[in-house]
Amino acid sequence: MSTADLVGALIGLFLTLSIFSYLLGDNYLFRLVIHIFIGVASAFVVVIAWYNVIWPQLIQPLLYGALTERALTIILLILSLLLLTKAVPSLSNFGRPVMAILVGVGAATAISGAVVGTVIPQVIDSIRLFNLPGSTGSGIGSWSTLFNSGLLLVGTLTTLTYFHFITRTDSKHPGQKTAWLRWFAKAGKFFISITLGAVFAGVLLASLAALVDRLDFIVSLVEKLFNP
Amino acid sequence: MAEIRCHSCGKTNPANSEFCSFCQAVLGSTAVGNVQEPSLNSEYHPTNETLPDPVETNQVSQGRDPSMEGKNPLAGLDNALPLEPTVRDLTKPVVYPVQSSETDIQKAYTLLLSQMVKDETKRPTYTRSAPKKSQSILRIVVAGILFFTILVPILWNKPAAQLPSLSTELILFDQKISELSPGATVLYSVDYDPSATAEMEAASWAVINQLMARDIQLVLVSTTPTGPVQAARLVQNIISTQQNQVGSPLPASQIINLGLIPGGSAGLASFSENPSFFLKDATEMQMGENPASEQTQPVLDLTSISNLAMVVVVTDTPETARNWIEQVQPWLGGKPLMMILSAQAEPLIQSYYEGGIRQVEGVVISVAGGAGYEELVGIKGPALEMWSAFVNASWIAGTLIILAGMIHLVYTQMVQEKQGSGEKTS
Repeated sequence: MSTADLVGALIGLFLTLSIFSYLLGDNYLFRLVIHIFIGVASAFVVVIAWYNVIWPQLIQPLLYGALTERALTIILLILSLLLLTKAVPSLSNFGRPVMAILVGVGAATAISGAVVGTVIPQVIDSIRLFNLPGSTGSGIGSWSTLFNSGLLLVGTLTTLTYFHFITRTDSKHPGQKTAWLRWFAKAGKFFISITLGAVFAGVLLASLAALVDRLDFIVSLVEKLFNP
Repeated sequence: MAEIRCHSCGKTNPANSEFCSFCQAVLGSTAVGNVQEPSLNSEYHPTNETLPDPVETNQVSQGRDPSMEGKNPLAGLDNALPLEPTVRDLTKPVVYPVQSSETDIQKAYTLLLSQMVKDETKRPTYTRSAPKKSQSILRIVVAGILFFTILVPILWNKPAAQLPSLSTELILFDQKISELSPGATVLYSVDYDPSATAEMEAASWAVINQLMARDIQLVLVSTTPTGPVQAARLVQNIISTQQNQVGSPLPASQIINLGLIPGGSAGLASFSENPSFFLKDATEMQMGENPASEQTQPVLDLTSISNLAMVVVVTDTPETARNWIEQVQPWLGGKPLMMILSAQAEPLIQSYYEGGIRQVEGVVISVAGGAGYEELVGIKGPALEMWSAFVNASWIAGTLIILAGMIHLVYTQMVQEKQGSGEKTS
């Protein structure tokens, strides 16, 4: 192990143990490391933004590009500077058009992508699961397929119903969902709970993998230090 | 039901109204028939009978229209005083009520809303409560159990009791990699945070090894700022491990790190439509570091992403995975999109590869998937190394969660019963 590797490993050991010190309660060592992580992460993003975006796509074309490229880059530079005015409340109006472009383009991309890439394929797939005559021509395959497809359909419909917040004003029950809608929403809540439970289990497994890796790192380092 | 007509706007209101609900004018109290009319002052609202004859008072021009005379006493007269709002405007202006006619419920909502706004603008004061001693002890005990179950297999290097089973997804994944011809270009996106490095490197180790072993041209990209460094680290680790184990590392020219694709989903959409624009800058950067012309040649030829043989995305978030599926997959022209997913992203991406329309054609999921793939291709990587400890920790964590949930359930039930019995005796 080289000196640089050793120093890096020892710093890593110190930071890992400092994070583990939270087990004994909130302390200054833990907070110091958290602040270091946040600072390093922010600085790293700035460096990456400079070397991967600002320098090659803004500064370099402006300095060394052809005339048309320079003209285009100047427009982009002006738009970027206008965006920076959002940080000053008295000048923030200048940044609005640029922000509007950014939000508009982002929303348009996300919506068109979601429709073409998710909504349409998933809807077609949900229909195809029933194996209806006309889609594959084979009819309903088996009871288990039917059960799974039915479960998927019920899950989809009830989950969508859970997010149905529009109510019709009734003289007897003003501002309330109808009874069947409430039951559907309850079933949707059940499906949502299962989904969130699965996501939580995934987060737990990812955290455990990180914990195993850190403990493995400590053991390996100690082994290398005392038994090189 | 009796009604009262507003003298200002002429609309009818309920009999007990003090103000017109349409124009907020003060209503009178005199009812006419079923409809109460506000008292009309003849001085201000003259009728045809009370008006002086305009001809006698010389208020009109001499030019009359004889044909109109029989219809109305004032018909055809040019300067006759009309009964229009301009006349009424001369009267005393209507006093509008200052007090709003809101109901008690509306007042309550207004009060609640103003209180909420007040609370939002108020700077919160945090009081630091000392943690209970029992909580601290419990935390240390749980951590101790977890540490022990993880450290035992690491220290004793105990092999896993049972290796992960080979799933259909893994076999399909390997089949797709086997179908790649040597020298084909594969886009490999490293899109995970540093906090997920342990899990994602374990999951992707064997896959990237297999791609390199098949002499595939790897083009590394990322949509997260830390991705390029993560990618470099992953490849460097694999190369150095191969050098240590086999002694013949793969040539560095096989791997090109193109860096960051900025802009999230919009950036990916732009990359899908015109990859050469993004790759041009990145390639020049790479050429500056290592001016080997053959190294950048396959990238420069990449005018469309359908020229790629495969796209592999390694990610720990469902949003990033969905961005690649939605923005890039439709442009691949039938070329496979493969994913190496974290356990936390997998439940939300499952429908993209398990359905009839396989938008994702192969997945490796978390440490279990990585270990399974390492077992399948016969490589001992980080996933198999940590597998035993990982399985132990998962079992213990799951058991502790279920146990804690059951204890909490019983405890809550007991407290509720005690409260119920206390209320009965009182």
